[in-house]
Amino acid sequence: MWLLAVRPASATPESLAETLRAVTGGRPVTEGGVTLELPRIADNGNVVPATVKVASAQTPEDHVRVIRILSEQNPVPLVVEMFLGPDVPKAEVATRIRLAKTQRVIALAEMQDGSFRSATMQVEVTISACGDD
Amino acid sequence: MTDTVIRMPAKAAPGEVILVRAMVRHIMESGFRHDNVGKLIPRHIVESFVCTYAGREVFRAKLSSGVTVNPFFQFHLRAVETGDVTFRWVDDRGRVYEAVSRLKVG
Amino acid sequence: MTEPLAQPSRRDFLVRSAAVGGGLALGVPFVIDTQAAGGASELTHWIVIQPDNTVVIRIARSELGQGSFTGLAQLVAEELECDWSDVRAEYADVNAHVKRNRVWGAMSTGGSRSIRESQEYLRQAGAAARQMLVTAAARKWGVPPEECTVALGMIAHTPTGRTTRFGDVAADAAKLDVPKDVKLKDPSQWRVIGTSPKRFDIPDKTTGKQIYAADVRLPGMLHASVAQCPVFGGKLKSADESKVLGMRGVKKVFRGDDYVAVVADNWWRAHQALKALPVEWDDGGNGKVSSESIKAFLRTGIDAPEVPVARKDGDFASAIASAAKVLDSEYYAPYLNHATMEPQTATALYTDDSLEVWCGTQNGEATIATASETSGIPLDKVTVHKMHAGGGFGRRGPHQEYTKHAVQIAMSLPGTPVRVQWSREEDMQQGRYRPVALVRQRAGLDRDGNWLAWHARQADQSIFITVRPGDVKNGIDPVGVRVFNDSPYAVPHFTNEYAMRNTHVPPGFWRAVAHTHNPVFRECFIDELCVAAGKDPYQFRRPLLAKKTKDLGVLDAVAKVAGWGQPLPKGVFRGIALSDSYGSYTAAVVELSVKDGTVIDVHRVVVAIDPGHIVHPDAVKAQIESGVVWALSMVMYEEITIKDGRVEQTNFTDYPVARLADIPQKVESVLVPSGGFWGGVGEPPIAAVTPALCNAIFAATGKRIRSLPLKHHGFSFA
Repeated sequence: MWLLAVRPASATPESLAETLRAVTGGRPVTEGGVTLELPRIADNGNVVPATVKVASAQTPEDHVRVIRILSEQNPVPLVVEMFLGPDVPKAEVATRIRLAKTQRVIALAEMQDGSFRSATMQVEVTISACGDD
Repeated sequence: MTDTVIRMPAKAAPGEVILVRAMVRHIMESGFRHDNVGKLIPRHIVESFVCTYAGREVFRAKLSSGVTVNPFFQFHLRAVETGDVTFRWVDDRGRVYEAVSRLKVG
Repeated sequence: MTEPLAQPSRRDFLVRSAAVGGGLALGVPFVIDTQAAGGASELTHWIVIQPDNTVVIRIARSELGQGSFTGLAQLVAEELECDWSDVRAEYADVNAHVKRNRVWGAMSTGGSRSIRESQEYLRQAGAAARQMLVTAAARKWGVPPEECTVALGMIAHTPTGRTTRFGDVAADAAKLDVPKDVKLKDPSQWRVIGTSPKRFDIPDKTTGKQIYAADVRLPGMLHASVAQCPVFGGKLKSADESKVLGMRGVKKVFRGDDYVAVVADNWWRAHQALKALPVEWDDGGNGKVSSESIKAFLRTGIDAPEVPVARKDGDFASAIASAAKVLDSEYYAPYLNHATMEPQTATALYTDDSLEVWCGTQNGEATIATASETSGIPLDKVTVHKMHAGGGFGRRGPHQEYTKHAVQIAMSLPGTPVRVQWSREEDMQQGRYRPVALVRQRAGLDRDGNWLAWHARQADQSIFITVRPGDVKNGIDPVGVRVFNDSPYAVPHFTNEYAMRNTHVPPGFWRAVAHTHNPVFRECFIDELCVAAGKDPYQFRRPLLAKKTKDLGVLDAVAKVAGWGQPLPKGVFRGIALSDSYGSYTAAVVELSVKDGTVIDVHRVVVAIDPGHIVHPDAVKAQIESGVVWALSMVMYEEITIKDGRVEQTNFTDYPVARLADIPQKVESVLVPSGGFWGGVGEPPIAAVTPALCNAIFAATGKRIRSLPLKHHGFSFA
């Protein structure tokens, strides 16, 4: 008997929700105060530049502790976690991620007081559209 | 040293905000790709990255297979004192990649 | 392909100046800057109405000769209630599409889906715009909109007899909110959908006026010919440009990772220099692969002890043990090239902060994304000029190398337009090929000749692994298994296994994709069962489709029109086949005679199709006819072979395709739209014709074809 792979091969919106719950501990997430820059259209999703900017004074009373990027359709919803040191002067980071297919991407900023802010963007991955169906 | 690429200024004024770019060459095999006979290729990725300066952690990242080949990060730090900015990546086979960049302040 | 000379000729014109105002008059599908052009108004992003009542409908997909430029406009016009003679079509601008947050939706043209995937939102757009126009007219008259009627671009207020034209109220209508809830017509009310108006693209294509990407000429333009590593996956090691830089017209030699290009003041000079350029390649390790080694590799899939199961009904192992008759067969199909009449080409113009690209792409979004990623220029600073393609067939969508080449070379010559044109040889040897496949089948019949058990194991190269790996689950390509894992026949015990075997030869979507060869494998094997059971192939299939009314519907329709069961003249034989694909159902009967056992004269091909609804019947007939040509060409002639890791074929001399003389005397299209759903028509006809042809050949000669193409079995067309 051929054994099927144990792990589901793609994140579903449900497992994204579970990941979000695990990360935020159920605490409220406010949309806004975060800019997520991604190309609106990506050719094949292999190398997608992502920049996250959080509007924060970066003082002891108001700074970003963690910036996370989450994916709705990737096999692993929590793409990357970036922890900023306490003295980091600007809450702006950039990296390059993989997107398995057309989907929403979420940038989640965790503040020093444990509150969360987010931004969401939809990225169209054209090569996944080109394949016939 | 040739596995890593660091781009940041060598000199800065005290208190200046500088931009740091760091990259390590790594295949970042996701574990979800198939080989030419349809079998899954095992995962092999960089899992962590840390940048320290002036005795403190400036930037730390936990990577998943969703980070692109040759993982790249860009962030900022405030120049306070002359010293080493160190960079350290560790992959899921325990291999360590390191780089260091001297920052002259003043 | 003859190249235009460096001297201006009738086809040389300034593409950009043509775009200003006169674009559509020249048949060039450029976007009119409608906001600026004399008071035109945009009613929803799909429709622009000019004061003179001209209705410009924007098209997001690409016209490849399949008629979507016209058909998609019909969907809008039906609900809009304009006068069709006022309608013009233009491509939605890709740059505007990015800036307006992808408002025109998917631009990908493939999978026979332009109509079926766009129809709802296009009809809704037409209905919404109509409502806005009526509301504007009603407000102008101070009357309730319900008292107004709309027809042929005019709005009338019934009680008073007042009328106004769309063009007179368009500006006011454009200021209104676009209604979200619109009621669409019942198909019984259609007056535009289901008719065959003159197609927008045909006249210019017939008179030679049509401009393709290969025809683009801009002031100061340079031309480049490209050579990529002949062994797929290899890299460029070195190129000795000193040998060619002195040649007439040569400007530079450009080195990419896996290609080299020569840039000159005309393409002929560029290509001559490229041929003279000493180049060294690192073949990447696949320099010993051949068609024979590939076949042996496929065989490891057939012989593997265990492979992924794509479908399992009943219990084949016990059923076959009790079968009265057992049949085995093995079928094979080779690589195939798209061989579009227009080889791959693109033009790019790069500056520090902007980029323009001209090409006949099947997906405007893929082109703009590739151009942006290659150059680093942000998406909103890239302009893509979509041109009608000289043949698409799946070659020009997901694979944007031609765009990448043009952009990379243009980046090295900022401010200079660069046209990259692959030679025919390059196009033949750097294709994205219909993959190779080997299938072993076994079937069991019971004592009465009923089909009891079936096992099909495929050794198949996956396309999805290269473009949509996330959709490959359990090592099974979801498109590669079609025809088997979605077979409509009610066989009680059926196992379909799929052994993925990927070579270094790059695969691509070739018109009808897996429905090019899988139907041959299945439908011809069924024919073998019929012979073994002594049953008529049409009657054998019918009870197996009892629950599949649409499959049965097209099978019965084609049998009826073809006169299946009625005696044929002496020496004429026929074959039948069925396949559903891309949301539609098709069946075909081929009638032919064979002289001297090898010379095939196809008399008649009858194809029945049920795509649910039909927008442009003539276009569907054209797709059937072109599908017949595609099928005949594939079955008789086409084959790409690999030697020393590279493609052996170079041109139409050694990759022959069907010609006018090969076309059957009669192709009959039987359109049986049963309504209630929207299926594609671009690819489905091919699926049924290829096996019907092979089955007819068996009926005529007793020769069972199990590997394509036919020319290897001594056959030719009359």
